[in-house]
Amino acid sequence: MLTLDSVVRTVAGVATRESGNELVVVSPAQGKYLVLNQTGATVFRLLDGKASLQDIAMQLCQKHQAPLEKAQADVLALVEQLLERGVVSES
Amino acid sequence: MNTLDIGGIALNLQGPEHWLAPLNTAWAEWQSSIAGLQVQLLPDATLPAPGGAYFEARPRFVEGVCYLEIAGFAGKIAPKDGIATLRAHPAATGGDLVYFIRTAFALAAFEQGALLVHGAGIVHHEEAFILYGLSGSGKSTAAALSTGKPVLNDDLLLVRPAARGWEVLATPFGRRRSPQVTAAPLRALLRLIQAPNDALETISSAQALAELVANSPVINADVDRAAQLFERWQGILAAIPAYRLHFRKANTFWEVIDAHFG
Repeated sequence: MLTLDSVVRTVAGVATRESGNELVVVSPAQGKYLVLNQTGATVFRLLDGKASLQDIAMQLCQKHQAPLEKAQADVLALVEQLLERGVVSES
Repeated sequence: MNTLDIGGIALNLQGPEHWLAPLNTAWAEWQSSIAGLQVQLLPDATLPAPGGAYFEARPRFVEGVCYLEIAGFAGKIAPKDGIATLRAHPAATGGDLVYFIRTAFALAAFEQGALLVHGAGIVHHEEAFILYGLSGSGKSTAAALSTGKPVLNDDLLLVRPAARGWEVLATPFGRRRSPQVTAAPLRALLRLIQAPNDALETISSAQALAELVANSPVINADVDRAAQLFERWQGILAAIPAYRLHFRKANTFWEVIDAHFG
């Protein structure tokens, strides 16, 4: 189960492309894709298999001066979606 | 010569007469004598009998080479070497052979700067509108509803650069209407959404890019071609507008298109 202590990394073979202010993420192996806004793209790029989701939420919180609880909830919700689409995996 | 030629992108087909003859008949208007990717269709009775249709096989890529394998079929497409080989059980159907050929064509087209797209290409005021979407999105329905308009194809289209912008070419991989019309300049890319009312919805360039990549068969399964695929679609999107087209099952969606595009 995904928690703030989870550590997540991008799956090998996932392709990304910036377009406007958004990031297109495609999993060729699964034929699935999603489009991330700037905040989503920031989170996605921080999923390096080292930082926990709590670490990432704190970075997001500092960068956007958002409440920590909201940043935690946003990170968890986004990573759930990324897991569902098979573009990231838990380390 | 058994050549399938779509807009100058050619496949030279080799195989037993009983496999090639029906294809030559079906594709009589697509024949030419130009050289292209060599496609060898080889019956192989040592393979297990097919357990289903070949189209259930998904392309797998290793260093640019596409492998298309499932019980009864062993396909390999190496566009850089100019050759594609399918070993197929003698029970293979015409549909199975066409699946391999169109997969090889998708790769040959991409190598030559073009793209095969899942979409219905409908010619309206002498320009092509691509109504795209995966199976079940309504491509065939929208094409059937567009009475009186040439349909380049209701499932797979070839898009390639033209002197001005991009053009859409008919393919034999689906249904057509008014086959004397074989190409038209690309006017717009419209992602089909079945809805209670007709409407055009603006989408971001990223959303359009993601949806178009998802509708680029074969090529979108290859990680090594991903950057090039993104680049090609971004080049097209820089010149061609993309929207979502919400449509109900009536030809009234053309009124919405006319109101917007004139």
